[in-house]
Amino acid sequence: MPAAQKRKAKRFLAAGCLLVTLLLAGNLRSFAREDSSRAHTAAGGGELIFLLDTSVSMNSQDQDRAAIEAIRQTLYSLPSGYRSGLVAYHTEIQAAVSLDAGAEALEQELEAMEYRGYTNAGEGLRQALDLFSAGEGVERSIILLTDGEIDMPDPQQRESSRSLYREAAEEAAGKGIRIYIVAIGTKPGNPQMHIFDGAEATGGAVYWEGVSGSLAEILNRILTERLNLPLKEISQERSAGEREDAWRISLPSGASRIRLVLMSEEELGPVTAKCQAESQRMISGKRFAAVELERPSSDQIQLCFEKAAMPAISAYLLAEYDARIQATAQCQIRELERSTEEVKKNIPPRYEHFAELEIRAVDAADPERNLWDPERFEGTEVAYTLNGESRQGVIEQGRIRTTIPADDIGQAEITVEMEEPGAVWYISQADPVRLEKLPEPVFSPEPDYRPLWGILGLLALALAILALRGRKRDAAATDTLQSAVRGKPPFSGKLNLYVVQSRGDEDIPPQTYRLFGRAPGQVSLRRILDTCGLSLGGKEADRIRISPGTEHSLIVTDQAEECTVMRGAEILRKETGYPVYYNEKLTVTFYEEGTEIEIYYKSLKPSEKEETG
Amino acid sequence: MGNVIKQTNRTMLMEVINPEKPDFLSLVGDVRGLESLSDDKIKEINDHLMVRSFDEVIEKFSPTVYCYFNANNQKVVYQLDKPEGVPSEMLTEIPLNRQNEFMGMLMSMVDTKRAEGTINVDFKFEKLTDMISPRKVMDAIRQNRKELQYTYGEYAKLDDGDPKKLDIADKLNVMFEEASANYNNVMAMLPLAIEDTKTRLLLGDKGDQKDHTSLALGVLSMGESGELRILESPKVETTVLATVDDHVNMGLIEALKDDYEAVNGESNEYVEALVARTFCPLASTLESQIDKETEVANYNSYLEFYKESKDAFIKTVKPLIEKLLGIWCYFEQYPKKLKGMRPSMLVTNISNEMLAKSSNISRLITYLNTTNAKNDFTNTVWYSVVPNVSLDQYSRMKLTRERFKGNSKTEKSDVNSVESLTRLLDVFKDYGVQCFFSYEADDSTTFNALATEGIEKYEERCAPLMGKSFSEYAIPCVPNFTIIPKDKSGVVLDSRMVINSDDMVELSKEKEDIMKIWIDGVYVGASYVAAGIMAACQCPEYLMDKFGRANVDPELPGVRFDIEADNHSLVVRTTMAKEITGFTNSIKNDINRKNFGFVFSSENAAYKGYDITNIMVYKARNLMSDGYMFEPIYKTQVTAYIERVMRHGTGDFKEDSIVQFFSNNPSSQKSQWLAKREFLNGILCKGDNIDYTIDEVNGYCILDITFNGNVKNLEVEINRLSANKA
Repeated sequence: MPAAQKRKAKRFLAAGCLLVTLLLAGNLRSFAREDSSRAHTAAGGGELIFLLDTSVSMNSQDQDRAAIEAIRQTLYSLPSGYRSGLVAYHTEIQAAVSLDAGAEALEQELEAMEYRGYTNAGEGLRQALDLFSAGEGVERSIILLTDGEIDMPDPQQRESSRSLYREAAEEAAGKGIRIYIVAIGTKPGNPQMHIFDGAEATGGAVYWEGVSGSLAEILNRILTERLNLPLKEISQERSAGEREDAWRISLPSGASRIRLVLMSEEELGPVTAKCQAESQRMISGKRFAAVELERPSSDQIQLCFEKAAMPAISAYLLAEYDARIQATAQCQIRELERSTEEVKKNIPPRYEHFAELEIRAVDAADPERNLWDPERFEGTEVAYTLNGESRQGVIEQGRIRTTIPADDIGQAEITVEMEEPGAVWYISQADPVRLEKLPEPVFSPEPDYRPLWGILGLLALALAILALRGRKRDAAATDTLQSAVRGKPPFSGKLNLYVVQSRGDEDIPPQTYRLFGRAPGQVSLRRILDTCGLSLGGKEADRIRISPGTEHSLIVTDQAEECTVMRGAEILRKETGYPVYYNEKLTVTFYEEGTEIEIYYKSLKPSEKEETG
Repeated sequence: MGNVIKQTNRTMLMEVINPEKPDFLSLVGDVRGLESLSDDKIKEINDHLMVRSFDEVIEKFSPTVYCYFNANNQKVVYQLDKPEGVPSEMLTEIPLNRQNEFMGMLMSMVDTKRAEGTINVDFKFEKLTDMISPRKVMDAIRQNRKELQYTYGEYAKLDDGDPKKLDIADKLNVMFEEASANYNNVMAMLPLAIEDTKTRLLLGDKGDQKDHTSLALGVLSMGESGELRILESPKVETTVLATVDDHVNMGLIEALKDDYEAVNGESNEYVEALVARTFCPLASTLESQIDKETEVANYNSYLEFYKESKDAFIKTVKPLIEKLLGIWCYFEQYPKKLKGMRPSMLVTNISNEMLAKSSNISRLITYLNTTNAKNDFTNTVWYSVVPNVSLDQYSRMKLTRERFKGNSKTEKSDVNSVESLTRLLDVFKDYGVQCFFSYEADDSTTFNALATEGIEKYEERCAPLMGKSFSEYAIPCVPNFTIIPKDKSGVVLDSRMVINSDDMVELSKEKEDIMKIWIDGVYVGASYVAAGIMAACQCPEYLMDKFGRANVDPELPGVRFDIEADNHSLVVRTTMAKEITGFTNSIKNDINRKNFGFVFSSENAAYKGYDITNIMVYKARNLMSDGYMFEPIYKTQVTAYIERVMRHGTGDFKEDSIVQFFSNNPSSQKSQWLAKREFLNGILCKGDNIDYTIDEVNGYCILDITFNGNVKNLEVEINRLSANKA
């Protein structure tokens, strides 16, 4: 197609979009309801600002204006309880659309958007924060679409914009506003960029175009994963012989509004929808189409694609219900069963007041229509509160039934929360239900007998057992002192042996030899080595003697000729006993066979001694 | 009284980073007759082996891969240890640092995944693995050459003698130096040659929209009657664009060629022209006639060679990269901006098997006797990390003497045996060092594997370490972290080139012609992250950052911080991104049944309305069990802390000082601890208490430390003997 023709086609398309937008603006207003008395579920209400970088570099990064297309698609994916606005910035603010301006104004601004100038994200974020309302309990988020770092004509302006951005991000974090950043461009950049601080400071997230999917996919992910909107992915249903270029999708019954968003990575071409509803409209983009239905009466929608080659399409559905909770109560009284004892003693019966509650969700516009009647709700668990206490109910035959004790309560205040994949419930809660207490029958009381007998013999028995245990402990203490009384100090502690050098440079695992518990007297090093399975030292090892000394020491005597024994850095004189205390080290070297052993003398803790015993 | 130990997170890593650098054994030296090391020796060890950041690891250990060419089999050989007998001029040293493309790619992957908070199944690994393809290497060079051309242009514009010209010349020198890193190394030139050949051969190729006429460059002009025409341009370089650029570019081409010749003794014309074309592409592309057959053959052989060498490089370097990433992850757990008790790591730079040898272990004992058994706690080692432990619970050290002939098994050569771990644990228990260990990191020990196979596998593997005196100090960390999963680790380098029937050069579409390398998965041992997060939790500033100033005492370390308690694991999270959607309830029940191990979880959770996208700590237990449950690791550390403070405060456990230590006097240590029990990092928290009894017979003081109602005993020997001796 020649360039001039292309330009014309583009203008035509733009004009067409604008016309469609203007024609449908009226309907849109009816969608964006502002009913302040209505209680929203968490996912159904909120405020979202699109913050778009319109600097000149976007001309190359976003050549086909996919960012603008993605914003439009997101705008029509939001439930009606969500309010959205827009701030576009380059060197200055190019456009700011308030939350109340509606989709029409937002569409107009997006249509006129031009990519030029520098990147003043600081001012952009500042303006975006100012657009939010001051109310409490509203989920507020910003989606920032940008292709790079803050940049201004001179360093001073750049620094000032960065600092403004930082301050605004901190303010957003303080107000609980989360910033989700979509980095436009095909190449993953440096994750440490200043612009990404906004996401980090507010607990948001950074997404890279390409790595995290296409722009449309990313924005869709933000809605479902971050804003927790219950968009339900749906697939087409086709019967045998049906056209391949048509989609048939089942619609949930009873919904007040339904949104259906179709997305594709390729150009979608014209799409038409067939369905019966009080009103319906189609919004088209290059790669998306959205259908909005008000009070649909048919249970299916048929979508026809006019493009010859059907592209791969993902579809999402969001149903909205305007519901009113109805609660009724039936109060009853019941006499509690008395024990034989109580009957004998003529104790007056006690009565239990209880109420049988029944909860239904009806269409706010048509109270005769119970929204829980369809079969899909049968057995569904629903969370609700009763006088502030959280409960779980199960829908059976279109209603939840529960019985509660009503002795101490005069009324039942019920709030219901509905969570359903692919649906948002706007619920007007029921008025408190008054619980009428039925009068108790009169009873004349009889005298009460309270004979109480105590058993003290058991206590005496317990005392006797304690006394016996005390005796046993004394006997154990006597045993441990036995060897000391005899006058010969017992062995204590243990030896850790490390063969530092062996014949043939073998590596021999460390060994432990427990001295504690051995009979007092001498033990040769050879015996210790043999016990550990180490055939080292031969006769020489037999001449190194170890005996217990005072204060938990060991007396080591070296009588061997072809070896050296060291205590720390001190060489032991032959045939002289040296005391070795806990945590000291002996090094024994046998010359003939060229082996060397390090022996660490270690204490045993009382608990380790018990293990040995 | 009123002692506080200011350092409770020194970690000892039992791994080799660079065998050419000093290691723990050689630095400690001969310890015959020594019970402890001198202060000078400790300083020397710290100077060589102690690090406080990842960059310091790179600086001190300079992890390097050695590369040389084997002319017999025409292959490139990579080795982690310096090959002996290869002259230094034939050897290329490739430093592994942040600038290394493979290392950079993996670090970007962790950063990106963390920022995005995406689980493995959704993460587009191929977008980042693509970073090591020749095309991306060329992209990076394109960026550099833009700057080089611009700076050279500025330089050429200025008159000689202008002082500004000298400044720019300095800048140019630095840029030439960086560029020369590419052209003084044929391996680095390969991706450039591949892309250069491809660019010249496929000039005019538009992918699928192939026009089967050979390309003739042309100029856009207007005909006599105003029609647009594309005319073939004359072969002489007289276009305006070329002449304008020539002044600058010709000078730059000459400068690059001169530099190449100066740097390389044996220069060749092809590489000289390639260097010039790569770094200054504008004016040189039409200089020479293209010989298609030769160039296609060259291209294919370059690509083949590049693939083989990249394959060999990755196979060699992967274990080292995994260690480096592990260290990086350890330090990443502590925020860079904080200035408190920054975790420090002592890298032994020696293999675990070597350190655990009977002949060497006394060096470790002597070192720990110096750092952990004195009343100076500056260099006390509190934690150790032993990654890559063999999954075979009966694995023996290769150097161990075999007394009886057993079944021979094929063993992995680079894993740490359970026997060597046992030997180390036996030493660590005497010095109160908690040992975080993790099993060999591969696709059988990941979050995915744990989610499908359960925890029993690890319980079985740990059985030989349970019920031992050192069990309290053994902390099995599971599962290991996945940086790139095995099944997503393929990197397409490019396709072979062929000449088609129209005598046109094109990239082959055949599957067998696609050159692909497999990284085979990159994993990081859980022990690094576990030690990293627990080391970070020791710092009061870190805890304040997470829980607010009011809840944390600014003086006390985080030894009593129980990461499992309350919402602590939601607040103190690792910096690693979630990997999977979570464990099933039955797996979690299995873990909770016995409270086994230091277990990480990748769960969907929210804290204060924010979705958690990081991996959290699910359990923090060691291998000491009362038969039903394993014990939380904080109890061991508090006990070691109390023992050390007590040793210091009571003059090595003098009986009268012990009494004073536990007295009700407000200035006693116990009273001071009790006064701070409201703090998250109080040594004694709510429900805790400490009492003592003196065992006169054995000369022991037995402390009953109550943790939230459960009593743990600490036995310390009373210093009566030494008093008597004196």
